[in-house]
Amino acid sequence: MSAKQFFKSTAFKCVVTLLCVLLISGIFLTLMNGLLAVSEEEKFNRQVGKLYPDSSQVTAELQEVEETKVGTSTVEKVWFIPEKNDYLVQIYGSGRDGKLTVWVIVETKDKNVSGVGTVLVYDKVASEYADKIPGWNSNISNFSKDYEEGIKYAYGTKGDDMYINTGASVSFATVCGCVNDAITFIQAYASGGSIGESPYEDFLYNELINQEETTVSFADGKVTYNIKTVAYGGVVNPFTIQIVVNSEKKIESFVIPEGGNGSTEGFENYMPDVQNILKDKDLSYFTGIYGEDMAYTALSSYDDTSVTAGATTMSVASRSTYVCMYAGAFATANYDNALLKGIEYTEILNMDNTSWTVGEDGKVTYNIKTVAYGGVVNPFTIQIVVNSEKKIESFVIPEGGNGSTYGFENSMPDVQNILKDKDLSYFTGIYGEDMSYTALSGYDDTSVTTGATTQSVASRSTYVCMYAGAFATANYDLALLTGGSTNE
Amino acid sequence: MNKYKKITLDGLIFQNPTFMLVLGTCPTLGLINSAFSSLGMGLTVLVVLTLSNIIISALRKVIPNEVRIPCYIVVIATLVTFARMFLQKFIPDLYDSLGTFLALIVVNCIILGRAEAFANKHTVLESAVDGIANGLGFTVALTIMGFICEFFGKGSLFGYQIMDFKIAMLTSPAGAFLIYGICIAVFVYIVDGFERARRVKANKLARENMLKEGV
Amino acid sequence: MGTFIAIVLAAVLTNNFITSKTYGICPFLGVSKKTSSAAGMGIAVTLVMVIATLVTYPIYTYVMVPLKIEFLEIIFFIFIIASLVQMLEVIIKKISPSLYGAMGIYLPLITTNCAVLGVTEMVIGDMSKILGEGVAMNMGWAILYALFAGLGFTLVMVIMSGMRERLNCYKLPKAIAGFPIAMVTASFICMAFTVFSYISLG
Repeated sequence: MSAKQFFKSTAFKCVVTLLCVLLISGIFLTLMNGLLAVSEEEKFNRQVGKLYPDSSQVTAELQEVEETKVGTSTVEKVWFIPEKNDYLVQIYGSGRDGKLTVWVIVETKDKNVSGVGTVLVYDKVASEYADKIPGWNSNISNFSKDYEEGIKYAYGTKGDDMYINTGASVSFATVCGCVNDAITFIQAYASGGSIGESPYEDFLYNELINQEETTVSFADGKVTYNIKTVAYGGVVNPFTIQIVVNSEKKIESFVIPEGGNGSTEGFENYMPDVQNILKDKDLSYFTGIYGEDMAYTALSSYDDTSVTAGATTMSVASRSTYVCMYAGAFATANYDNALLKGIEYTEILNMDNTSWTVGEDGKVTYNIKTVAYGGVVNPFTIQIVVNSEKKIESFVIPEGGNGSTYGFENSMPDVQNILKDKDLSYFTGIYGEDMSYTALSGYDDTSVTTGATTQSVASRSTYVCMYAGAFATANYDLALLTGGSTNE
Repeated sequence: MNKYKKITLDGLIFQNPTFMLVLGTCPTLGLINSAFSSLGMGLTVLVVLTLSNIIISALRKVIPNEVRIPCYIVVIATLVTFARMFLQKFIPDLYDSLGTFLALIVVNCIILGRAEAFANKHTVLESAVDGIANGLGFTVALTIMGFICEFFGKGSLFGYQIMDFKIAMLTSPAGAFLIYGICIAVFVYIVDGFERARRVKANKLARENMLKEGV
Repeated sequence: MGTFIAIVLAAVLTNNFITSKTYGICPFLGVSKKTSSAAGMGIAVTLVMVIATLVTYPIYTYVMVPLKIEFLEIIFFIFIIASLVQMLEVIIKKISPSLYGAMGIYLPLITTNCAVLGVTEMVIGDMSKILGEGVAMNMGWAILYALFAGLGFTLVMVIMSGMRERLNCYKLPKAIAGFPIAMVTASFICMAFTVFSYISLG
């Protein structure tokens, strides 16, 4: 047919009409999409709003926080919700099945943590917060109900009536850890501080150690560890273990006290053997074997016939054995670190710039730097030599080391004199700034002017010097053992 | 005026899409256990139906007969997409509660049925009235059933808990079918009765007229 | 394997399109008076569901999402489904007139069937409850789900038609006959199917 006929035919008209309709629809919808599209941000805010029982309108403001390790978990993201004065923390720990991410709402009031809101398992594999988040598991309402200040959520505090629906095969212990660590993090973050280093941050073998509840003390050249482990492998509860490591860095005693056995079944049989194995071992015993191999290797190499072969095969006991081994490794590997931990009187000292050297005659020379104190005292530099009788042989504030803002120069010579020949007994029993008053008032040399005790600036400076003296005498043994340090 | 009254009554009662014609059953049954979603769905369908009727009626002389169904479908799909965008932005609660049924409005027999049966043969105004009437009929029917199922099934109304007595079966599809069936039976019975009464009255009037004119 | 079983069970029993999700009710009520027509409709719906998913899923996942035109999905999908059905009708008519006689007449009705659009919308959404945790959605699972959803639909259709054929033997009052009694029957079928919701895997 001719062109004109074609253009008039129904087929053509049909196609044209259809195309026109499609085109107009497409344009209309694209326009509407531009106007009405809901941004990712808005969708996210709505999701966060749903975390509240009344599904309120909230805006979640992403905070600039880098991935921070807190306790046994890692904080990934933090949002601040201004309408509720709450923080939403996205935090993950390693559960039985790998990485487990949890959302925790931490409520704050006046920059302090005041409660815990909704807790939910965000996803077991990292995901983006798009429209459709799979696996909401919001049966975790008890965290909110049971909150009280200083609470540490843990498996076993509610017996079998746990906080979450274990049908979802989620590691309950990990969730508890995440909630605890989120609280710790926000406590520091909300008050404007930064998260302090975990006490045993730079210790080796610290993954299974509950850093907040483990204590380390030092006496007579031996380090005593009071260790609490974290729940492990979904079947082992926290263990309490006491280990003493002597100055040869060998385990002198390994004791699991009454009630310290965290194993869920059957470990009691092997417990005595495990404790024996570890006596007299040092770090070399643990190096080179990783993970749960530790348990197998340890038990199989023990040629005392009292260890039954069954110990190597029973899986529950080997996890518990592993935890004990691990604690042993922790204890021996960190003997030096623990020593440094055992240093007393460090509060107003700048430990990064304080160092000491050990001389041949058993004298320890300290080069001390303090931190700014009380708002009026600048850092002091003080050199103290402590002799083998643990007495201060010399106390010198070198040129430029006087951090006082005014007036201390008058009393400075006297303070330096006072401290000669004093040992730790001089400082013990008096706390804080009383140190300076007591010290100065006990000095019966009339060259101390009474003005020195009353002038407040000078007494703060005096206190700083006293404190340095206490530091020097208290840590003599430890300093000797470490053989010198340069904390640069 | 009478014409519009007829259209309205037909859409609302005598040809009620839900109870008399049993069209658009999918969203009816799916959303029946919440009065809020039923009402929301009804109103959304009302708006889409009216707009679609208006547009199709306006274009009825332009669209060739052969492509009319595809064109109608495109128009309806556009309107539904627009409704979805609108709800997601401004009434997110309704958007969430409607779920997938929002997209399924495009295959709702009512809308395509009215377009095919009415809008392409009548004027814009008449089509608009028809759209509103049918939409209202659908909404009222859905809301009534939603009320019943939510109240007796969950003891709440529009989300507010009112009583503790619950018949849980009514929240499941089984209960939905049951209530729907019962409502149809009741509605048809009433309307039939009404129609019968009207017919009897009309017959009586006609007989009286005949007598008056003298047989 | 576990996912396979999970999908089959979900599509046919626990998440059945008619008894659990109430999709595809129009043909369910309209075409289930005779078993032969019910079976024919069921098979036709299954066929269209599978082919529709086969075409729409890749287009959505690989074309529309990257181009950020997801908001046009309703138009695209319904257009694709309508065209597919049209093409299918022509093909079946040509290939096998007897098959066309058996089920071809239902094909135009399927365009406006909630079940078809419903399944295509479902597979592009959040399927984690059905797939289980940690399993990603892909084309294979989508097709599988569509297939078994259609078969589940057919199953319920046939059951319903059987019951309705029996009901035809009885004389019922005018108010109850027709739709009301069909609804009540459907209600009983739903009740029976809720037994399957007690099956849970893992």
